[in-house]
Amino acid sequence: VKAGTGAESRSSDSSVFASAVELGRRMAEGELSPVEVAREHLDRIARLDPALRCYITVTPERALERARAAEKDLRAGRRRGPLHGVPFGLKDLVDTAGVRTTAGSRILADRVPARDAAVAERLEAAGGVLLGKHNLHEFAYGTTNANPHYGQCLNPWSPGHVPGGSSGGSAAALAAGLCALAVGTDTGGSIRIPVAACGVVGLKPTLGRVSRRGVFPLAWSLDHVGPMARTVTDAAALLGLLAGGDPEDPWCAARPTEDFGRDLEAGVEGLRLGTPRRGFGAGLEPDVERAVEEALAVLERLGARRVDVEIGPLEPAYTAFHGILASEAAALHGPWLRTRPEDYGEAVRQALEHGVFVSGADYVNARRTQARVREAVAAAFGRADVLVTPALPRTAPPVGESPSREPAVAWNRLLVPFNLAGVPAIAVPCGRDRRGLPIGLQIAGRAFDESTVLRVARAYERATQWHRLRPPEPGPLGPGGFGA
Amino acid sequence: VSDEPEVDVDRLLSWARAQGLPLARERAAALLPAVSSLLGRLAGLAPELSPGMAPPPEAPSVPVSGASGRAS
Repeated sequence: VKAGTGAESRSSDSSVFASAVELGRRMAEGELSPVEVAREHLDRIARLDPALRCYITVTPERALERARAAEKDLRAGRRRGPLHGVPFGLKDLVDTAGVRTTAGSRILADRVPARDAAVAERLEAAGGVLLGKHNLHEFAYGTTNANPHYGQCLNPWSPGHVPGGSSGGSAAALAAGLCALAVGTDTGGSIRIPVAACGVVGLKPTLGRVSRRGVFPLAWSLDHVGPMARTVTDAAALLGLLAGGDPEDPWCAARPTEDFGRDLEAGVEGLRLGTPRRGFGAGLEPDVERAVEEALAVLERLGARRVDVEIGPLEPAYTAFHGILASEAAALHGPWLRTRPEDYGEAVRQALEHGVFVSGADYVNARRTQARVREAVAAAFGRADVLVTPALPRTAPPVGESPSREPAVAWNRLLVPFNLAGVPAIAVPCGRDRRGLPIGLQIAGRAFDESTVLRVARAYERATQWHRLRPPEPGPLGPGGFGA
Repeated sequence: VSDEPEVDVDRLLSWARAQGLPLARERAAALLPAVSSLLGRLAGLAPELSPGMAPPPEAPSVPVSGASGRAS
């Protein structure tokens, strides 16, 4: 499917599909009012979200109050940064002082944190305008966002398909114009799965790049917090705001914040694109395979060179990931599993129970396998500057289908090696399948080299139009729209 | 072939009891296929003993529990 030939609509002049950086600039120059932009987003949420279910909690009063403050500051020349006044949403496992934070669960349905998570604090300090808290797979433990407590979030490109997960509400909200930026988490693909499925952009940074303080965990050794956006430039701007050391998070690296926009437009001339062949090409939907080949050809035409790399077989990596995830999640949820198991949705309860049976020896062997994967990925970066793969082997499954966790067919099998290795990896849109569902391209880089990952992603984005496509605008009763 | 016990419903119930997890027999039976698959794959990982040193020859490579250290 060629960009621009499908049923999609082009963006309008309305602020809801504008780039976040552009919104911030126009607000600073007085061309746009943060209050009007917030209102436009809130109106759209009120109109579309009852069907889409991207939000668990919407915070209109707080949003308008922050937008008014931003407007006042900007008029007085007190700009706090490039995203001052820009509306955003947070995955509902990121603590927000005074705003309930459920982690998508019944167990935490009434929990109102007293303090912001580190990333929420940073966005607040930068003058961002919180619109609300995004729907997610219960406790972030799943890839479909089939949430039994807050509803199945739908894919704006097709209401019969899931948006991916676990940060599904965030990706769907971006795709539908219900926020300009979002913050998600990624333990085994939970940022990259939904952005690939919804045709937007999401970056899992290096482990330790962004503080996890105040973010409800899924698996301590694999969890990453990262930016989600509609463009690479916006993701880079948001990462610049989120990144940085945090003495309160022992996992967070004591590194200064970088300007991730500095090399963004530098192009890919001379860069080596590693394509790991073993396992990464198996079982791809033909449309996905074609789209990723075309994306690689685009990058080659821009001056990059393609090299084959080897990062070992995927199946042991996926098994190690699954063992670590199941075991750490079961350790975390053990007390609730013993005392109130009926408060979990059935699918998540089962997944947690699996972890109870993973022994200490199994866990240790999985961690040792993880170390081998990390070494293999590091060795691949001796031959390549970035690794390029499909994000997902298939496009979004229909609502009601449960993706398998068997390694040969798991939906997230191409993503987890980079969680195990802790290196940065982005997913960007690179095509549509024959049904019009988005296809994602994954670009991974060396530890703490998000700049190169973003630079390659931006070069691809500049040369293509996929990021400009918008889902069909739904009518209230239209058969194809998500308002149906 | 390992001499470790294969996973079955009774073993799942026993492990669950040892950890204080309430688990009915029907529920254990429903969990069995996925748990058995996961444990079998984990037991098959058999990482090397030390860098450059092959895994022990008796490392299990068929679906078994890998139940070292587990209550039974």
